[in-house]
Amino acid sequence: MKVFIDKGGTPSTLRETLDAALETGQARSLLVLSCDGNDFTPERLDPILKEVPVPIFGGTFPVVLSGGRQMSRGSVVVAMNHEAEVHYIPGMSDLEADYEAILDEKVGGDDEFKTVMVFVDGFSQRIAAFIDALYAIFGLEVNYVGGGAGSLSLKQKPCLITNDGLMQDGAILAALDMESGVGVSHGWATVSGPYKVTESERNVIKSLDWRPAFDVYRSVVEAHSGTHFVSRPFFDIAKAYPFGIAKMGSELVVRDPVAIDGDQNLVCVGEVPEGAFVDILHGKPDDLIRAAGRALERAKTNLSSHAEPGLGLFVDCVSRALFLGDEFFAELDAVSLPGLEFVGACTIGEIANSGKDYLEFYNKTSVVAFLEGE
Amino acid sequence: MKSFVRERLYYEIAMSIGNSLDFGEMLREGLSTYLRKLNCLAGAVLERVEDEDGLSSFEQVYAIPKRMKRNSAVSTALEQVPGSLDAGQLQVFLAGLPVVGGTNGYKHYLMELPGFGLLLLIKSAPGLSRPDLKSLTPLNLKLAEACRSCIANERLQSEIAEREKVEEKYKAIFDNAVEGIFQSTLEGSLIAANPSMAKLFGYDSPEELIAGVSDLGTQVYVRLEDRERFLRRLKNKGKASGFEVEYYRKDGTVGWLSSSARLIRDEEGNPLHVEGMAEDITPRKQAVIALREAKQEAERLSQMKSNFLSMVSHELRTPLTSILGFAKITRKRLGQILDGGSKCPDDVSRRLDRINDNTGVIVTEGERLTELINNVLDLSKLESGHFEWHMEDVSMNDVLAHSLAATEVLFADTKVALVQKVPQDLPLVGGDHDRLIQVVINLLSNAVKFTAEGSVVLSAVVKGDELVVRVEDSGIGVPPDEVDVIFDKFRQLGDTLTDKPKGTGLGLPICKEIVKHHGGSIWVEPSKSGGSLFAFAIPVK
Repeated sequence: MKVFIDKGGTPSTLRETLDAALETGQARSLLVLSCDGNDFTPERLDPILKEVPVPIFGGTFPVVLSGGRQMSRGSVVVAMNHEAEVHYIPGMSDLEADYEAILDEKVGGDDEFKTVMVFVDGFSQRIAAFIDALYAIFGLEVNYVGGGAGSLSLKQKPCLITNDGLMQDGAILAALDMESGVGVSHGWATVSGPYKVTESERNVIKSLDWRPAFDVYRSVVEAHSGTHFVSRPFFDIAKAYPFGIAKMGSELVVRDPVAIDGDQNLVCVGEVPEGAFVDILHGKPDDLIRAAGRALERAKTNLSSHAEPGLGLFVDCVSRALFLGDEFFAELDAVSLPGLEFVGACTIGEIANSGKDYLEFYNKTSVVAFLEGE
Repeated sequence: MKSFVRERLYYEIAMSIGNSLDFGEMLREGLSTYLRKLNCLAGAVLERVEDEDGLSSFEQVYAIPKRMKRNSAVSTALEQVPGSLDAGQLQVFLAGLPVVGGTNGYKHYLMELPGFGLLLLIKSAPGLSRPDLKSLTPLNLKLAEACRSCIANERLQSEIAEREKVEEKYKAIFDNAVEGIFQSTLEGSLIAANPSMAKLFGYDSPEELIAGVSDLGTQVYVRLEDRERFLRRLKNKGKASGFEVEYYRKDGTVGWLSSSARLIRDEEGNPLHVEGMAEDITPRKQAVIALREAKQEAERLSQMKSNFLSMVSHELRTPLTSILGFAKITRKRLGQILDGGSKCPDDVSRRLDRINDNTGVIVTEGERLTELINNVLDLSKLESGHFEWHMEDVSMNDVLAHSLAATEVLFADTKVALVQKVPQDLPLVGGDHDRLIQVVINLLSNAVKFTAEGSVVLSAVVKGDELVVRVEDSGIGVPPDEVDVIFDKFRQLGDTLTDKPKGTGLGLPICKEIVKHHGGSIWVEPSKSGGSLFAFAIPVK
């Protein structure tokens, strides 16, 4: 595996970088992590992507990570020496879509993959249903790693990189016969709860314990933080107070409230099912940074002893970066290992499974994956 | 795990189970929540099935992930599920649940879903604690009940679908039936009707008919008493068949319908409503009326014919008898004068000879006319059924002997020989002695009439339970194209009057009617000698 950096962030510089990756002659598939700041559009990028002769997959993200650096412009191209079986699934907000049936038809039953890299449009409405379908088809002996692509503007736009061009409201998955080790951790802790989600619609929480969700959330957060929502933008405060959904023998699954809609409902990244119990969480920067380090350790532990890591992939939630601010560098430092190159992205939700847990769509979580080298 | 967290998770699992009656959808939500909340890697629901011998096995009906058999923990767990268990073995197996095992860092749990089957869970080590496992019992009970409900619902839905299919079929019959089909109250409002019923009454749709007719008695029946009679019959007999009434259509025109209906009663026997069929019989009814009128006209004409024949009998035959009688007397006197040698001048003698010849013509034609009138009267009586028959046991030997004696004279001055081949032991027949003689005489006289020379053979033979009498001649024969019409009235052999021997053309039709009255048949066929063979067959006693 070899990493190529495009610092220009234009279609032409990306084309040059892709060509460079292909010229090595060892690139059997290409992973592309591009910055949302490149402002790529299908009109400009599709002709380039359609010419790529090998499977290509990836997305555009608020921040791209490369060797401990944050990039807001440019792209990281990874020439992978494993050929990926790539599938693009459209209609990630289609309420009628049966993703299990779609994947069942697309994915061969006899193929033995070890790692599935998944990128979804982070602002799609049915990510949870797709994740469930993904798990139903690929099964439990596969490591999953990936996350939500998109823009910090919170507006849905074409953000998935495929051989057919830049796509919106879909998911791209790349199945690889490649060992990996995955670690997941977040470091957020409960400050209040549990609260029962009495009314919700996919990623929108309407009421908690039969009271308006925002009223409950505001009273807890304002009391804990000492700040008031009227004085600051919602996400400035909310980024430090996500929700947590419990699951047995594991860390809470975090849901990130990113906005309030016109009816004063809380809009999250990822679904919050009606009937679930949620805690209101808070995190200290040190705890979060330590958690990222834990994710690294777990990834290392989970990589098969006979596999040599060729690349580290760090998928970290963009709202962690926003929350940590300048301290985000410390988190990047925590996810580093001498002699191993790391690339990654700050995502709109994270997808991970180490082979020991039920596959989840996380928020505000650090995911580290060690990808097997040659 | 802390108890309150467990309760919280289990509550969420419980809330996710049974939210749909669709088996797949229910488990997609319920089992995925079950696995997610317990952080299990895999799970499967197995249904207990019984084979023909009553032995129980467990079949996987749902699994998450769908493709999980490659996993050794799953394979190991599924291997522990026994098959073909009798009742005792099943009881022992279920009593031993939950089964807990482990391999390669995975733990598996096989638990009972009471009344449905088994639940398999795969979780990474260290797995579930004993209290966690025990706490799952009520969840499994709920999951089992939800599974049973879904299966029952599937069965119910299948039955409903089947029933709907059948209903659809009957509805199609109802909608497409040519006859009107209806359901009405006893008070006279329509409950249901098919398109044909609407059409019958001149409405565009059943809905319009039902809305437009609120009282059948006054709006549909031309005579209210017909409606009352119809209901009375239904109440007394429970049904009415082919009940014909005049009815009003929507546009006020009147037609006829035939209705067959039955009275529907409740369990206590109280009348509920009427259901049945109706058919427009207006064209048929009009045809019957026309037929009745035609029959009356025919009867009137028949009466006229009878009167005419009576007139013929009295007004023609009586003067004819006088004419014929006086002509014969005149001829006799002239014969005496001419044969007596009376001295008359020659021109007087010549004139008397001519008068004698002319009187002979009057006698001959008069006799022919008498025969014609008699035949017309006979045929008329035969056809109208007014002929007086004297049916008795008749000896056919006697009939044939009489016939031969009566016609012997016809052969006297001809070159035609009369041959008889009649056995002496012919059986008796039930018949009219004189009429049977009339038939045989007619056939014999016809034969000699149409035979210039040769022979006429009378024969009789018993065939089965019939006596067949044949008259075969060596005469001119019957052309094939006249065979079919020779027994019709006023048809006679030959095309021209000049060629035709004298006759009325009614002899054979009369024979046909007489033979028919005796339950027999008459026919003609070519004879071997080139002439014709007339035969009739009548049943023997």
